[in-house]
Amino acid sequence: MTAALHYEWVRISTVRSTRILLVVLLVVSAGLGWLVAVPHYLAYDETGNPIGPAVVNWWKAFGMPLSLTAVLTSVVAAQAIGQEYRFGLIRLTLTAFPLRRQILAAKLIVVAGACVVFTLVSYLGSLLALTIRGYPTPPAAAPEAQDLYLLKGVVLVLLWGLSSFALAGIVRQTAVGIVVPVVSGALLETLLIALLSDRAPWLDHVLPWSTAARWAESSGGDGPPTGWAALGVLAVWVVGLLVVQVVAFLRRDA
Amino acid sequence: MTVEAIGLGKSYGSTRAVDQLSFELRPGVVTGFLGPNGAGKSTTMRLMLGLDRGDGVTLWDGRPLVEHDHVTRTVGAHLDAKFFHPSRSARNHLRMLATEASVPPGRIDEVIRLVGLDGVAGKRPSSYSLGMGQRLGLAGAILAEPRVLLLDEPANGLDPQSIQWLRDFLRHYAAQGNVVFVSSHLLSEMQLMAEHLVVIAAGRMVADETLDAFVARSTRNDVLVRCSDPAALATALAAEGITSTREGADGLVVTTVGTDHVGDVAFRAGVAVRELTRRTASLEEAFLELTSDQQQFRTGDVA
Repeated sequence: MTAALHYEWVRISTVRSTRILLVVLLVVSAGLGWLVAVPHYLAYDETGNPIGPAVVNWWKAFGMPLSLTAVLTSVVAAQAIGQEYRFGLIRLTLTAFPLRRQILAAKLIVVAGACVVFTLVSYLGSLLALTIRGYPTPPAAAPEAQDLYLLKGVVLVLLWGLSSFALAGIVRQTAVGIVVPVVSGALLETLLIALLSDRAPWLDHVLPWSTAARWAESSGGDGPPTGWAALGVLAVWVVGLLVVQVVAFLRRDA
Repeated sequence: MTVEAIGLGKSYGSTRAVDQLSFELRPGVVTGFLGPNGAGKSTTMRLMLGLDRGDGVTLWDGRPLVEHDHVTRTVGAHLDAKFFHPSRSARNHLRMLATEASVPPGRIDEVIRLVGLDGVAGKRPSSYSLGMGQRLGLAGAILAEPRVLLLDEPANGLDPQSIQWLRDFLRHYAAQGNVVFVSSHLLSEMQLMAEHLVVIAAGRMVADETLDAFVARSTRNDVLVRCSDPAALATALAAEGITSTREGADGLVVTTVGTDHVGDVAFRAGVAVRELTRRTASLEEAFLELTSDQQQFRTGDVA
């Protein structure tokens, strides 16, 4: 297993696009964090003068780049399996590691690791922006229940990346793994929910990527799932996709 | 190390691409793998490596490949000259392949030099020619010094000097006690390189024998005799039940007996012999003859 992990690590780390994506992610998340972290005041007196110290949307500076982080991570995750088929490398891989479940497990571990690293790099960019703005630590009066905010972000990117990995593996196409979650989450699922809201009101509780997009909200109540519940919906889909992919990987010709 | 392929089979829909192929590869000799286009050679190699799902089993030293500790020290395969990532340098490509058997970095440099890629090993291989891709593929196959080499058309795209180098290298590699199994369409090269042949057509076994035995099966192996009176000699041969055919003004061709016998008959008939030659079919002639009725993709006649 160590050799398979080493193989996957060398494979993912020696492709130029991985390093380029990391740099792009750091720069863009710092830029977005900078834009979000504009100091503002919570209250003003009758003359228009601010009351109290200036504050920033400290947590939002981390949350804003996460959608982009998920998309960039999905590129690496989809490439981890899609490019193996595109360039025929899967035959070299499976010749060296004929125990398929072992190499697939190694791929999953390395992709999961890459998802975490990408999210941390995104957070690093945001923290850089906040530090430059002069707010390196969260404000004392931060809203409640933000203590797990960063962890939820990691889980979101991890699930998004794994869904891309599974999709790309099922259809053996990198592009499908990248495009389907984005298009489905931003367009198709929203369209479906709007068109079928009368006949299938439960749709916005079960669709994967649009539901996950609500991860940061904490409205709760009777509405569609948010927070951990939203991530739970995506997690169920990811498990389903991974099961299909594992079966396909183990049974199909390379 | 011996390699036994037992009952290999593979179907694509209703087409039987490989049908009950069994053969054994022995160490110390280069075994050529021949067959017309679409005969199932590449599929057979993939079945042997477990890349394709199908019937049968291949035993490497008596065990399936998955039971070997370091697979890349058991078998090195080169299946296509384009199996690399276009933005991963040749050196990194080999670094990746080296992980399975913990091949030391020094060996990577050694292999790069051996296949002549030392000038471009750090560059991206997206602009590699077919021949350079073949060299990289071969480098990957021999990296961990495996006891079995499986090479699918490794000479495609190589220049004459490189083909000669490849031939010498593979013969030397086999001579060290390794198994070398190589498919090629370059039959003249195969004739110089292989000692044993596995020949298939339409997925079925045509021959599994030494190259000499395979060539000897061709009807193009004959005896040409040029003489002073071919008609008299033909009559004398016919009297002994030997059929001959005329070739040219003073020639006869005999396929059923050897030169000694023809010479004796001519001597007894009082015919002066000007030339007596044993003509042996080339591998190409034998291959075309023995697989002519089993070509899957036939070309039209040239006017």
